[in-house]
Amino acid sequence: MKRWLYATLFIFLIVILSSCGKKAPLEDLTLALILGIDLDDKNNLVFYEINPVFSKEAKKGTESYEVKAKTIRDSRRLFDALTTGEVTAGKIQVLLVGKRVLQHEDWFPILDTVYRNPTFSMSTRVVTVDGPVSKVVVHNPEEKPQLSLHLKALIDKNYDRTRAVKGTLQELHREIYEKGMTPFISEVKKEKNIELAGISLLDNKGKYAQFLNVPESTLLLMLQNKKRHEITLTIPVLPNKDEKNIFHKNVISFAVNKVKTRIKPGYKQNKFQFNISITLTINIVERLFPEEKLNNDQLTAAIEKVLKKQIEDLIKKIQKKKIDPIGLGLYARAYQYTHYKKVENKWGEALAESDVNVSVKIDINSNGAVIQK
Amino acid sequence: MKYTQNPITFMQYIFLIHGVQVGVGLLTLPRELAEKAGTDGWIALIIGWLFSTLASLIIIQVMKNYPNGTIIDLITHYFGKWCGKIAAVIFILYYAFIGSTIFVREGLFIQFWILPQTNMVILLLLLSIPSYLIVRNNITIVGRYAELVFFMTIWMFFFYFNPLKEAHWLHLLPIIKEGWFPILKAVKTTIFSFLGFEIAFFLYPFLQQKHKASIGIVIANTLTLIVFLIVTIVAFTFYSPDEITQYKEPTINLLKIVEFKFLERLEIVYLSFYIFVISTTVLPIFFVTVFSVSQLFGKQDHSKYVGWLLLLNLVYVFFLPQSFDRNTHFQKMGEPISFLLGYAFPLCLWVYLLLYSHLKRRAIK
Amino acid sequence: MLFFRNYRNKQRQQSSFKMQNNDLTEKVISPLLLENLAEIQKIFSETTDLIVKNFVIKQTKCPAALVYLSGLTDTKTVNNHVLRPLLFEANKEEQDFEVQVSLGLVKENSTWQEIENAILQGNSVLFIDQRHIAFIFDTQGWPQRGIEDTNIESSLRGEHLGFTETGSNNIAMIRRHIPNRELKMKEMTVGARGNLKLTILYLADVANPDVLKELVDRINKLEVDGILNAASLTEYIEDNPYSPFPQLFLTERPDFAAGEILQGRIVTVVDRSPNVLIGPATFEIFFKSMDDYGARWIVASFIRLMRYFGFFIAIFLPATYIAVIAFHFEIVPLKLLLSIGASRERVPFPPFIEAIIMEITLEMLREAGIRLPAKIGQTVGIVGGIVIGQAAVQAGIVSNIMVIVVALTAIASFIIPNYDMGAAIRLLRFPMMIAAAIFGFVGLAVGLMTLIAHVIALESLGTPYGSPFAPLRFPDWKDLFIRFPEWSIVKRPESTRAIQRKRANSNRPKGDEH
Repeated sequence: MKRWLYATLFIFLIVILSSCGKKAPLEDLTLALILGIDLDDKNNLVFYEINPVFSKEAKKGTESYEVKAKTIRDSRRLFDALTTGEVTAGKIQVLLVGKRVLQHEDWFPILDTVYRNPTFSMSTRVVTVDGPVSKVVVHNPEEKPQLSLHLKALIDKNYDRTRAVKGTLQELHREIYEKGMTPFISEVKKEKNIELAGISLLDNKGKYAQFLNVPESTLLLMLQNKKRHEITLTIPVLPNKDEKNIFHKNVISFAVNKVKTRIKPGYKQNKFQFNISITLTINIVERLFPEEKLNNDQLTAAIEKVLKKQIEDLIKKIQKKKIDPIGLGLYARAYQYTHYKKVENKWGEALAESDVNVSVKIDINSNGAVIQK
Repeated sequence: MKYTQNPITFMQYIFLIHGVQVGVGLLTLPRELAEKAGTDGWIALIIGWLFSTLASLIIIQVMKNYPNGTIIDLITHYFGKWCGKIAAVIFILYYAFIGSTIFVREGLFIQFWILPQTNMVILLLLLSIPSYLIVRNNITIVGRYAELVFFMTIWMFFFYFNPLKEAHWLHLLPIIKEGWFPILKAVKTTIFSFLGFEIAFFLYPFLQQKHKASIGIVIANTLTLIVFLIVTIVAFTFYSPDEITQYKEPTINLLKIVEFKFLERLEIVYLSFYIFVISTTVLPIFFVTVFSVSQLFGKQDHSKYVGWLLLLNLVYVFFLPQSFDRNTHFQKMGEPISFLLGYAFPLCLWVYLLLYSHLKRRAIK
Repeated sequence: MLFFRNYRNKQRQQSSFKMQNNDLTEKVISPLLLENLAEIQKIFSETTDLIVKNFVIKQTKCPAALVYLSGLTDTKTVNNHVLRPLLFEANKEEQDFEVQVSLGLVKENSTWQEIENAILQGNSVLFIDQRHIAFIFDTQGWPQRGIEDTNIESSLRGEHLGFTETGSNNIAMIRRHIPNRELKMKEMTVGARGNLKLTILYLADVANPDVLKELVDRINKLEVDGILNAASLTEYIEDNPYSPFPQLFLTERPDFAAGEILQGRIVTVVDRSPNVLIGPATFEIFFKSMDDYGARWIVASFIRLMRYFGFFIAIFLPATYIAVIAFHFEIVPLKLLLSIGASRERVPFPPFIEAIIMEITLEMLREAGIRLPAKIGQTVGIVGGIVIGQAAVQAGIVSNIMVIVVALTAIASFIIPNYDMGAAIRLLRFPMMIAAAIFGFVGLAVGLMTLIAHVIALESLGTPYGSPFAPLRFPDWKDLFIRFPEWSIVKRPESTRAIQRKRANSNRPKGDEH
């Protein structure tokens, strides 16, 4: 008798269990791979979404939609009205933010749902679009893989070559809330093709502050000790004597093997002081002028001088905008806590007033396989 | 003697205690520490460990006075039958309360992070199945389970070395930035994180090598400290100190960015298997509850109470819909009792027993 | 699972059932030959294969009768060693006839019970007039096959002799490996009609007496008319009959059985069955094969690891597939996800149904292949391959990925060297699939937890089945995932509860001793 009771209970249990937790399987979903946020001319929020189309009948592998909605979550309702399957956010690879959005100081809270809702991926790359987002979204050349894969690969490859930042949602969140530094994300623009423009520096509220081109981005990343696989720099080391200089006979290219940035914060005369010393070990990979023009020591000195100048320019640019993408504030907090604590909430201004000394040290490791007379 | 029939080995003893200590608390621990002491929270962990180890050693000293029985037998022996019964009721209520709170919290986490569409009661029903199968057995089996699960899940903590790639060690500096006061405030949190060692009150009679009881409980506490420290330090270096308090469960959030070539969104997989870690908290607590119930009624077999306990839990969740806030509220309510039972009670008992034996010896002289 | 517990006890309590109509236990033979022959005719009525040969012994001039069953005796032995000397040889010095019978084993008995048994076992029985006892000659010789290579557990380097259906041969094959006086045997008979002879072999100074007692007790408790093979015997004596896992190890390899005896386990040779039982079994011995000890230890360890990996693949892969597709697609990297999506696009079923269709098809193909003659079996393989691999995908019923999953699962389940364990694993993946279809990864985790809960509580002959995982016994891990070199394993596994732990002395030179 008892057996039957248990058996009935068991069946009952199975029935209850099987009636719950229904979730649409993969093929009934519409995977949003790119989410775009932009403002139209009348300052209405516009959301873009690209998703793959699995059906073999469809000619193109992806489709894109554009809706006007109040928030990201609200846009899902409108996307759902357009797509075949339920729109899900779990696989968003790239979040495109139009520059017009970034120019408003209080844009960041619209990303709230992204952090609040656990389905969103935190490794979505956030990318600024110079110009209207719609132009990027509709761009779908035949010779490239689909846009989401292409864009992500573009960012990641340049990240590996120390030219761009991943700028994931996670990093953005950290940088926005971190008082000792300001956020920065990669920037793309659509000319003929979609290309990586450089890095957009935002201020501590997330407002667009400054644009850095690719070489400047590399320097910024070097200052942050964020060298990845390869850095190649091409800089002029000789004065440009030749009027024409079609073939840029004054430049040298080198691959950076090792880069070590040491930042020493100090506090003197009510000002922060930062001594930044960068040590680079380099391999010369290209030199377009004969060796006798500059011997090794002169070359080292010349490169050091040019790099120092470039870095100082970069830091001035940053100071002028009262931002701190390098994260000098972290050093200030770690080593000058009491002084930092006072200016914590206006760190940008404190940094703008502080003295930053840069010293560059170059160590030439190799000159390449040929000797050029 | 009934306790020697189902002995637990030294290792099982360690991992039972360690298992009870590490559970749902770890998921929110970095935030709770950061809220109170900022990035100095890890120092509070070490201080908390000191306190818990001390309390654990006192518990063992107490239990040495009556090595062949649980705390309930000990109280019965020294204070009489009725005190024993009262103690049993207190422990049963305490463990039932704690066990059910953690059990529900486990369900809440799973529901929020992995299965948002699934009904809470059904989720707990599902979790009850293996719980029943394990708890209905004797302590040896529960010990084996704790031991196996420890080695099965220990590799999961290696995932935490992945976010270290993007760690900012500068966050930890300067050490003791705001003085000792906030750290001491955080110690209040950490001594609760280490709670669970008081289960030694019930494990001690089962332990085979009793002379190793003290060293075992220290090892268990230290293992717990190591796990807590790893997770906390990774969280502190990965998140900005200004940001970490925004994440409710930084321990899970940390894994959202871990990506492998074949696996992304590790937190889903991780949390699914974290059920194992939580189960080593819940199951021994359930065991102690039903075991004490069977002791209270003088029955040998505790297995039939297991079903009732689980059923009671389900009924409770069915009629009282649970939420994180309510659950946290309950947890906070339980803390003073935990403190009393885990820290104050063993100390008082120890002092009493010292005096008692001292006076007795003098009386004999 | 608990709810059948009472049922078993109830069965025990039933009074023992009657087998024969006339009880022979007390009856003794009579001195008159004719009376005895009449009794024989009474006992063996309607037994056409019974042969009663009446003759006069030349030596003593006594009338006698030789009784035997024709198919069960070796005719040559009867003719040459029993009948010929009795009929034709007379030795004047000797008074009696016994010396004339040139057989090793001659028993004397007078109870009908024993005589009946002896005849049924294939012995021939000699009745002599005016004698109170009958003589039982060991002339057994039934139809049997020769010793062949093992079928199911084939191996590369191991012994190429398999057990046969004759218990005495099987014992001999084991004894060839352990010619030691401590190899003791206990003979028992099971089955009121079947009269199955069981021989329990163990090393008296190694095997744990408690385990032995447990086994003997369980066999003694058996009351059944007949057991036809070793596998059905395990069902009667194993600890938890509702577990999917085999709790006693069945093997047809004498070397494996002998190896386990040396480890301190107990082997039960079941007459008439080409398999022997090894107990107490632990979970891990089902993942061992004789070839592990025939290959270099690094290679063997690699294969061992692969088996455990295969175990998890076979149980969890289809379930993981279902969980991922139905719940947690987020965890799959985008490129893989896109190809999965593209391949699933035409599939009209939810992943669970898709997986069930394929898994059931696979299981049916496997089963069809086993029972069919080899020639037709091949056709089944081809048809199955086409159906699974090609047509189903092209018709859009299942996805490519599912086919890969099923194929991997199948391979992984066949990698388990033990058939019973392999079957258990194949069965277990269905509940896992159900759990995954309802709860995704949480279902999987809970499924695994239930499995663990079951295994750690399981026992084999009162010995923990999960050892050395749970209870954790690290010294035994030397022969677990990694098979350490043989010379480094100096102790017997704790899992067998052997009373003598040491099995070898490490004689490897250490340090500068070279």
